[in-house]
Amino acid sequence: MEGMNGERPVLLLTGASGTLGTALGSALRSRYDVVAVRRFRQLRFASQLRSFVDPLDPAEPLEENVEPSYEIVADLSDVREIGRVCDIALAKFGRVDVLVNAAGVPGGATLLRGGLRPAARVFEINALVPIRIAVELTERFWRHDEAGNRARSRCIVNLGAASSLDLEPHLGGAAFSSAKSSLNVLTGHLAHELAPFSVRANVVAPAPFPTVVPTERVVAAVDQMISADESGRMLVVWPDGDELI
Amino acid sequence: MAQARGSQVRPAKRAAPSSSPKPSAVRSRREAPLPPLRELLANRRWSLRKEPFPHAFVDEVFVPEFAAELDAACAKVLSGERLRHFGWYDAHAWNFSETTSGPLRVFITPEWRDMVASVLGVRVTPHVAGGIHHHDIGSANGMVHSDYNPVYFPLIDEPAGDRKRPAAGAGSRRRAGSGTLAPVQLSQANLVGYTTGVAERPGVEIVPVARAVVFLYYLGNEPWVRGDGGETGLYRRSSDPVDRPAAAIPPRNNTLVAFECTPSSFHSFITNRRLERNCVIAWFHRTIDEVESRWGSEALERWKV
Repeated sequence: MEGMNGERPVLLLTGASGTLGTALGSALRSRYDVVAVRRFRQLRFASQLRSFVDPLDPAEPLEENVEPSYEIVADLSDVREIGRVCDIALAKFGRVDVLVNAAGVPGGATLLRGGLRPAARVFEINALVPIRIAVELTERFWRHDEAGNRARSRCIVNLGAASSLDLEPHLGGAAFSSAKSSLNVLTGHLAHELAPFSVRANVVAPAPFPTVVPTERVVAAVDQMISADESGRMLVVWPDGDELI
Repeated sequence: MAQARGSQVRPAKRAAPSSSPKPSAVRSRREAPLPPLRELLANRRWSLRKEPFPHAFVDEVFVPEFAAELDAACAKVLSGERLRHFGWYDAHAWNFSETTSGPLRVFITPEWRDMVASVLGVRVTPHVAGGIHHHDIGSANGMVHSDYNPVYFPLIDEPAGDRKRPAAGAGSRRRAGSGTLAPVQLSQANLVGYTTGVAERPGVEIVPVARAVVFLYYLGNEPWVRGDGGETGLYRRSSDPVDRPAAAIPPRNNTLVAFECTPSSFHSFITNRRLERNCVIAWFHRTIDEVESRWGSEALERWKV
C-alpha cells in the first residue's frame, strides 16, 4: 500500500503486544504510521510512551526508536473502549487506512474439562471484537470517504486460524477454533457489506506460530493481503506453503 | 509516606558478618574481579517507559550463566544470613556491606551505579544503599510511596576523588564507564542511621543526601504467572489504591525496573498470594542542593521516626 501525497498510510493494529503483534509492529512501522493497541502486556517496539536505550551507550541513537508507533491501552472487550480507540486514532492521524486485528485469546481446556467456560469471552475477543472495530471505523470514517478508500485501497485483515477450517479436533482448542470459524464467516459478510465503500476485508489463517510455522511467514501473509486487491478471501498459512481460499 | 522503624529478626542458620568500624568506600578485595558489564549484560536494549512516570524496564538483564549465579547467591543469603523484618513494612531485608562477596557485588560497583543512573539521565553521588528484600507468601501490601526521601551517610575520607563530585552525568547521558568512576560508598548503619541520620558513634560526621534512583532486580523466584501477585505497582497518584496500579511489574527472574526518585514516583509492593518474592533493591543518591534547586526545599518526603 502506497501513501498519498507523501503521507504514510495509517495502520491500526490490535494485539500489538502479543507474539504476532510484536512481529507485525516491528516489521511494518517503517512503512506505516502504526497505532498499536494493547492491554496487559507491554509493547516491545517504540511508541510515544516508550523508547529504547543501550545501557552502555545511552547517548547513541538507536534504529529501534525511529518511527515510533502510537500506543493506546484499551480493553477491547468493552464496547465503549472500541469507540475510544477509533476516536483517538482518527483524531491523531485523521484517517485509518489498514485495520489488522491480531488481538486474540486462547481457548483453554477440552470440552469435558470445562472448555466451554471461557467460550463466551473467546468468542467475544476472537470473533466479535474484530468486526465491532471494523463497524465503528466504518461509521466514523470509511462510510464517508469512498473515493479515499478506493484510492488508498483501504482494508481489514483479520487474524484467523488454520484450525478453523476442518473438523479435526485440536484438543483444547474447541472454543478457539470455532470462534475463528465464526470470524471467517463474519469477515465474508463484512467484505460484502463494505464493498460499496471500497473497503476490503480478508482473513489470514495461519497454522500455529511460531511452533508450526515461523511468525515471519504470518507477517508476510498479512502484508500480502494488505497489498492485494482481494476481498472476502482467506490466505491460509500451512506448514508447506500458503493457500488462497 | 516514609517510615523508619523495625526490629524483628528472621531466624538464621549463622550470624551475619560484623560491620566495618570505620567509614570507608568499597575497595577491591582479593576476590577475583567481576567480568566487565559488557560481558555480563544480555540485553543491550533497555526499555524506557513514560507511564505512569518515567521508568526503565529490562528483561533478560544478564547472560543466563551470571543470572544463575545471582539466583544461587540470593538463595545462599536467604538460607544463611540474618534477615531483619522492617516491622512497618512486611518484608525482610539483608543489606549490602563491604564484606559482600560473589556475584552480588555487581550491584555495588561504580560501573553498575553509573550505568543505571546514566540510562535514567540522573546525576548521582557515590552513595549506595540496598540489599535483598524477601517477602514471605501472603506478605501485606505496601503503601503507595515515592522513595523521594532524605537519607544519611557517614562522611568518609576521600580515598579516590571528590565526594562532592557527581558520579554520573546529569541530563546529558554519557557512555557508562567513561572517565574516572567515583568509588561506591555504602551506607553503614553501625555509624549513621540511613533513615534517621543519628550518629551511632561519637565524632562521626554525617552527610545528608536524597534518594535519586532506585532499581529492583528480581531473582531467586519461582516462575510467575498472572494472579500470583508480588508485583511492583506503579501509580499516578499517592491516593491510588495499591491493588489498582497504572502499571505492574511482575517479579520475573532476571528482569529489572529502575526509576528516578521524584515527588511523583509512586510505587508499592503488591501482596504475593502464591509465591515468595525476592529482589535486589538499591538506591543511588543526589545532593540536597540539587533536590532543592529542582523541587524546592519542602518537597522531600521526611521519614517518620
